Amino acid sequence: MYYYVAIMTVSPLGEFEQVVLLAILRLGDTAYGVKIRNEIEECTGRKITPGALYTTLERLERKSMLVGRSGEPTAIRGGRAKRFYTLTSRGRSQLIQAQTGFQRLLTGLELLGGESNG
Amino acid sequence: MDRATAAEWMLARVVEQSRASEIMGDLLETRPEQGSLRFWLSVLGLLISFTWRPVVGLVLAYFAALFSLMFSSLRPIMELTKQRSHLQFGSAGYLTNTYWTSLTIQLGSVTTLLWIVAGYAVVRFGIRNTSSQMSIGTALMGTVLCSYLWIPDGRPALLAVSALVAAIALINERRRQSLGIVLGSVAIAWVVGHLCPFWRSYPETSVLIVAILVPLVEVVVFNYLHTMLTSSRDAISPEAL
Repeated sequence: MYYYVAIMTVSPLGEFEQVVLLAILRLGDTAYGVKIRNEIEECTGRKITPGALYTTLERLERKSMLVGRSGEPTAIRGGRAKRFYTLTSRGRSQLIQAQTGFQRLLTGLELLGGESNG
Repeated sequence: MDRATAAEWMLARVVEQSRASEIMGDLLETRPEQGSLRFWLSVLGLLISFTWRPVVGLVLAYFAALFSLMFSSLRPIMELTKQRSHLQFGSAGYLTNTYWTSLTIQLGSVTTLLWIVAGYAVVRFGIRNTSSQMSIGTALMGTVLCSYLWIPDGRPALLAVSALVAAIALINERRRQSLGIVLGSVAIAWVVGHLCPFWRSYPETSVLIVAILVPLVEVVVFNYLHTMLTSSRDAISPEAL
């Protein structure tokens, strides 16, 4: 059963939650556990434990920031299906809100390549 | 049963079956030829990731109960004892009205239950969670009331400030719901503590049983109410996805 959200104010996104949401956005329709983990490791250089990733995915899905859909089972996965993730409109707006804060803080600083941002 | 099926079964004890299957598929895809030791270490890591918060939260809940008993609940009892000895020697001291003292003692037991929820909630759901914040807030308020409510001079001011803080906190709908979750679990634990059949029949062992049982019941109820109510609150319509 679904309920419309009465209050759109939710607890702010944590740093790792933002990283996961950004990785899913980058991957588009092909975002599932293995690819998300690889994308984060390639982009940030951080080693991600499976436990950290899946607990975060579960939490984001529970908070309705992500939605998952099952793919086809494959032999390499022992006949198990992939679970593809997509951002919901709530997840997207929360991410934009969090990133806008970072962008504002970066404005006027010359951290990235010597050029000021904004 | 192969190791992947066994590991998936174990994971399904702590997460939904579909998620356990997804995780196991990902694990097989990433490391198809890893040895048994590494495989089971990965599974153990996943099990710990999904279960450490409730387990550590429960342990902290017991410590929070002890903390509350030492610093808030025992205070009015000690004062009552002191008052009785004063009365014997002809001095009424502060506690001229034992009604307030009895009330404070009852409040002390409720405060202990609030600290149990607070200790659990902070670890299980994090400090940014509204239920955690409401449980800490109410537990702190209970502690302050327990510590000073028996003093007649400061009582009106203390009650007025408490009412004001409560009114401000309850303006927000989310906080009202979280407070309902916290108070609901406290109420059930309080009833369980008082209706525990061992309480009167076996007084020697009953205290220990109640001390173990009540916090356990309380965190289970809190977890259930929180998951049930906040998941329906946070769920959004398919059109909004």
